[in-house]
Amino acid sequence: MGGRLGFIGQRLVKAVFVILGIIVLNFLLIRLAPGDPALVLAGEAGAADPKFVDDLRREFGLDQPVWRQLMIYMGGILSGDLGFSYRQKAPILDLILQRLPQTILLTGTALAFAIVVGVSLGAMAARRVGSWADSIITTLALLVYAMPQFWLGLMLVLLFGVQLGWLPTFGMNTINSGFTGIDHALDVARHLVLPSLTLGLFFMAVYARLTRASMLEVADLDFVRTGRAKGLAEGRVQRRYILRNALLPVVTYAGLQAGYLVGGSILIETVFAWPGIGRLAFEAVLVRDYNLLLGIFIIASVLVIAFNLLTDILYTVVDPRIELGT
Amino acid sequence: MSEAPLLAIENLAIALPRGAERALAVDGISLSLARNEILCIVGESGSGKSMTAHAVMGLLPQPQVRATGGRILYQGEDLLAARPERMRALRGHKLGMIFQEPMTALNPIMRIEAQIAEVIQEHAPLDRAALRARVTELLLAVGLPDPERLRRAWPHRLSGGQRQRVMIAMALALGPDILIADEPTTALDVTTQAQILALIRRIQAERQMGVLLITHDFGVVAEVADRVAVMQHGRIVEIGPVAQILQAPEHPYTRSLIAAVPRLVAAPKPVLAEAPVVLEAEQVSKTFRQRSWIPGRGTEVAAVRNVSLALRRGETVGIVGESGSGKSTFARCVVRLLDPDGGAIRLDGTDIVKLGRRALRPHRRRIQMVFQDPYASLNPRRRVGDIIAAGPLAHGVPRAEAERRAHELLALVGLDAASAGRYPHEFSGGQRQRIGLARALAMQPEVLVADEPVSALDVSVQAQVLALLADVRARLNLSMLFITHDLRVAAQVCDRVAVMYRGEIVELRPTAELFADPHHPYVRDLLAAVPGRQWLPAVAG
Repeated sequence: MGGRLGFIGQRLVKAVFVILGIIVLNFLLIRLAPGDPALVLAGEAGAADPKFVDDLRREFGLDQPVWRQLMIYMGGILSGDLGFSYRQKAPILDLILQRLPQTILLTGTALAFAIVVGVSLGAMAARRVGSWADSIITTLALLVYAMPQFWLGLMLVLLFGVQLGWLPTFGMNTINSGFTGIDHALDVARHLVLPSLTLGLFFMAVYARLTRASMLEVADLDFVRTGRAKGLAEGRVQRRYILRNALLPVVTYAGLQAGYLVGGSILIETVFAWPGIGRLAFEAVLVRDYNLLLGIFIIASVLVIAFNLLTDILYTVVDPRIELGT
Repeated sequence: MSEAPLLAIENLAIALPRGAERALAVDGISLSLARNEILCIVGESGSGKSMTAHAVMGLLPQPQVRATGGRILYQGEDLLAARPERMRALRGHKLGMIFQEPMTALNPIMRIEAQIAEVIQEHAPLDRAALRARVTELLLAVGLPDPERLRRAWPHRLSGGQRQRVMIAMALALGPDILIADEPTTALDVTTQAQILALIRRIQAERQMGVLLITHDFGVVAEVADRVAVMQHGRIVEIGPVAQILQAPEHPYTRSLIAAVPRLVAAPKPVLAEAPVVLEAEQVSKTFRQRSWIPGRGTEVAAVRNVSLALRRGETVGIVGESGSGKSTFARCVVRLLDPDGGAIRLDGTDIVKLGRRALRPHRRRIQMVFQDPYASLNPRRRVGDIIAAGPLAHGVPRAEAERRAHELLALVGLDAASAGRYPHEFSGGQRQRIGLARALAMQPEVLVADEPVSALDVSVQAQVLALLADVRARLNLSMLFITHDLRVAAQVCDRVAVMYRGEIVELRPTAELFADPHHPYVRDLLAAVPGRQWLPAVAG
């Protein structure tokens, strides 16, 4: 297993450089965007005279050359300090850590739903290729795949929230309900349904299509015929020979997707007022909260890289032919 | 025995999907297989031999391909009428099957033990200890060493020969009455092939099984068959005891097939010692390195080690070896598709290894290559005329001239001029190999490097392409490096033969001498492994 450890070490070193690159790039990019945080701050304080703006600039170090600002920022990050949000009056790391669990709850639920339902539908379609069940599944998958997410979200809200009144349409809890224990959990679960469904349906469609295509490809391979020549039951051939081999590309895709999603889905969290990272990022953009935005970027890129690595490691477990290292 | 034969096929017809080359893949064949015999079905691609085997197993790719008539009787029971559950119960239990491609025939994500155990658990479950003992016993029975280690191995860790042994172990797990082997050794090296054939022969005799062996190779037939059925276009043209079919075939098709098998004895060839040396390889080496991040963890494979040979004008030198011997790597070094990392390759005295890209360009023309796979080596989106003219055009020949030459070359390789306007997929394998040859000749090369040019072709087509090569070579006074794994082909084509083993030439001598009296022990083994070497076809071409 030395190969595997060596491989992971190698990837971690590379990851550090990638993250450093991302920080520099984001830091510079964000300064290219129009908008001046000092002006926004001054404007909100109701005092737009140049002296006050200059003072603000000096106070926050915005008068320093860009490269110095970058050095100061990098120094902070290396000591685990992502900076302070003057808008929210809180350390950025705290803000992010407060929101992260909600995002993980939302995206985790959505992904789990997408994988379980998507793979099942894809397998069902592949096994009965050409049948009406196959046609329905592929058509539905295409439909969901092609539908813009915000529109799908709005329709779900209209149907289940407004028309039928079954499910809450925004937030994560019922405000001032005072629920505790199991009631609290159920309340959150009810709030979770619509956003995770909206987010998950798209990926479900992707996984269904991917699984179906991959299974049809594997079904033609030689070893599947070997399985049949052994006299195995069809269900066993489908599961152990076709599906398990067909899941490899699905694993890759899901692993990469998980990385992006844990960074938060800005759209879904905003539409459903879900208190996660995505919405935090959206708020930060609106008020030009550079530090917060940069912090979110960094966390998001670290997560993407971490999930990439995790996917590679998972791959060696799923497919023995892939060996890490050397 | 007075009871029903083990297996009887009566008037079997198998329909192909609409739009196929012909309506019936198998057209009313009848044969029977007795306990304790090996029946070989021999034929060229498209003869229906493999379809017949799959029909017996109930493994036809239905619904596109299905049996439309006749009966397949297993001990009197009609398998075509059997319910799917009954067929499933027979498959793997009473009817075992092994396939052509051992590299892809095992489930890549299951350990060897699990794959063998699975058959047993499906049909006649055992408890853990008994199961483990049975798997070990099977692995030993098929001649696999170290079953303890092998049980836990993944398929990709095994060589082709080992995987085919695992397949056999799987097919034998429950002591079937019938073993169906569909080209079981076609993808294997000659020495491995000899071992696998011996293994099939041995276990057949030990277990008194009936074996139905599908092959295209008369050498294999001579090696293992008790009886032979010859198939052509879905029909059996001749069936009988092996001695009769091999020594006194009656049907003209059987005769022509046997006549097309290259003889293993080489006719003495004129000595070309006076002809000038065109190409000289001196101490050519090529090592493949895989670098690693961690120092000292990279891997190295010395594919070619200090190979030297000289090729005279008009001469054909064969390079013979098994897979991994370095013969193809050497060929690619000679044409500089790979850069050798040591040694010299002199073309009329110029060392082309030292030349840079630009300086090499004029010399590229002089050495041309013909590739193995006629299906993969022609760009499917270009017309044949353009494919042939592309080389000369790249070297500055005017278009009209290049096209005129392309037409001449098509005539030279036996294709009509109208072929120039068609696409590669409109041609058969043999025709494509002719196109590949025309493409190489378009550059008016002095040296032709042919890498397994006939190994993907049926034996009758192979004979035609070999004859064409001989003809072209004589007419143009070409020198040829002929890479092959097939000793019969080498015997027929080459003036001298170099045998490669683990990256080195172990013996390089005139063909007739080498075949009559091999010096190196590996060459002796290789010659001894050629299937059907005892059998010299009685019918002259």
